[in-house]
Amino acid sequence: MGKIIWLDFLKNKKNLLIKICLPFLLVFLSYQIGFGNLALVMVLIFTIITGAGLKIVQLKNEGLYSRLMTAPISKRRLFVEVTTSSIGLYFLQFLPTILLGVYYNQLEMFVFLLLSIVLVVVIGTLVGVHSRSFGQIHLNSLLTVLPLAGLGMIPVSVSYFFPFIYVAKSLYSLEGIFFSSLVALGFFFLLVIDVSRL
Amino acid sequence: MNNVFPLEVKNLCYSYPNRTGFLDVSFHLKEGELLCLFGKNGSGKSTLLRVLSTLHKPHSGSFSVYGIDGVKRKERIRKYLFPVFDENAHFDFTTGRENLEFFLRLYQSNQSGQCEHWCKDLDLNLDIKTGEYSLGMKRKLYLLEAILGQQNILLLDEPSLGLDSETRDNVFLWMQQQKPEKTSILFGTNRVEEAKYAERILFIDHGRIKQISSVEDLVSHMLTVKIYTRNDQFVELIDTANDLPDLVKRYLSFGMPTRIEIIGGDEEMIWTKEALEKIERAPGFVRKMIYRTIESYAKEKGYSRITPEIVDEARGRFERK
Repeated sequence: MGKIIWLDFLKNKKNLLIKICLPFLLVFLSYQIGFGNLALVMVLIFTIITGAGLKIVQLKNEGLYSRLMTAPISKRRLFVEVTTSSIGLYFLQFLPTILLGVYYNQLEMFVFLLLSIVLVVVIGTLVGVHSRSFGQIHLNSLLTVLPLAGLGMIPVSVSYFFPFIYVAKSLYSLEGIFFSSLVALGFFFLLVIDVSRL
Repeated sequence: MNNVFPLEVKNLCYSYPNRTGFLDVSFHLKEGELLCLFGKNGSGKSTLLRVLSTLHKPHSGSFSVYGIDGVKRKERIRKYLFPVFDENAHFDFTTGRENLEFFLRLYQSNQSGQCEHWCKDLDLNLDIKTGEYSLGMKRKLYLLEAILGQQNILLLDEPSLGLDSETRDNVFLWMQQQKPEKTSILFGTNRVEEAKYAERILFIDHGRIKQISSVEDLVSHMLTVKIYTRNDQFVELIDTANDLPDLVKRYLSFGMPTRIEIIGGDEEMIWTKEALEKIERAPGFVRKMIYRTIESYAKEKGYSRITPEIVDEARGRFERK
């Protein structure tokens, strides 16, 4: 399944180039006016949650999801494969933007950016699994994205369990890596448990 | 495993929120059998096949695959099933061959090397992207995957979707001849021409299995309609006379019908709204008897449509008697 996801990702070179350049430009311009980190967090949350969710709903609409769900393979394994491939391709897509973030902050920020990608891909996949149509995915994405965006902007105590706040505030801490990894891992397990019922 | 049926369904029920679905369905599929689930659009065929494919959980009843509970142990029974749904689902950006290999890998089949001569039989080119395939080619690829998937039970929903009549016949003959001996096939269709390939037919109507019969039985319960236009003659089978307007509408593109013949059938009477209202006035406990009396009167007289006048005629005769 991973190979298929990569082939789909690479099929349209022009679109891929736009997907790579546009966030880079947006974040670069934001850095010029002093909101770069915030823009970086928002771009990651908005793009990846909706993108990962849409991918699943697209499979549902094309009838491929039904085929995959009724195939004699472990659903846990299937979704782990889908999620890890998506993490890889979103990492590649946002690599220039991430490097820009690292350039304007410190090298350690890379860890938080990576954790942010892992977390939003997992959440996006969960959103996709629980949405049936494009309309529902918009609603569910919005309901998920808004609290996460809030947690990325407002430094309340619960925000420190999510990697976004460390990027937005350009704050590096070892505890932060621990807490953020814990949350990302927790969501990953939630996804694995959720899909095993399918 | 030898004493149990590949598929056994007992009192299975499933309904969507709008109440369509199926109710109290029971049947079994024998080893190596080609069984047809025959019914009109919306009769519940696809829903039943989706439930048996483990895509939906039934609301009550049970089904088993080689004796394994299909509701509780769906992960285990998937090892025996290959469902073909009514959508031709493939990854459009990859070739037919890549799709075939991908799905055969999912089903742990090593038959991909066998595909070349099947493709010749089916006139299918595997080296172009499935996005460029016609509807019929996609269907053929899906069926090829099902046959090469080497699963014991194939659940095919409208297997001829998108195929022309000649290809459809070839595909059914091909399935009959090429399926492994122990493979059992349950397929849903609304075409009598396809049902004839089955060894047994389950007739599903409004979500209920009405009869288990042969093609001859099925045809005898249907109406043969001959539609003549200036240049052509068409023969079709319909379930009830209520389906006639739609059928005629479909054939209008071939020219205005000059004559329409309806032959045979154990046809149910058509009651007009006014006639029904008239009967509704009778006390509840005799209503059933009145219905039956009027219907047998109409049948005797050769009427197929019951109007208030026929109700009066029947009542007159009943009173005279």
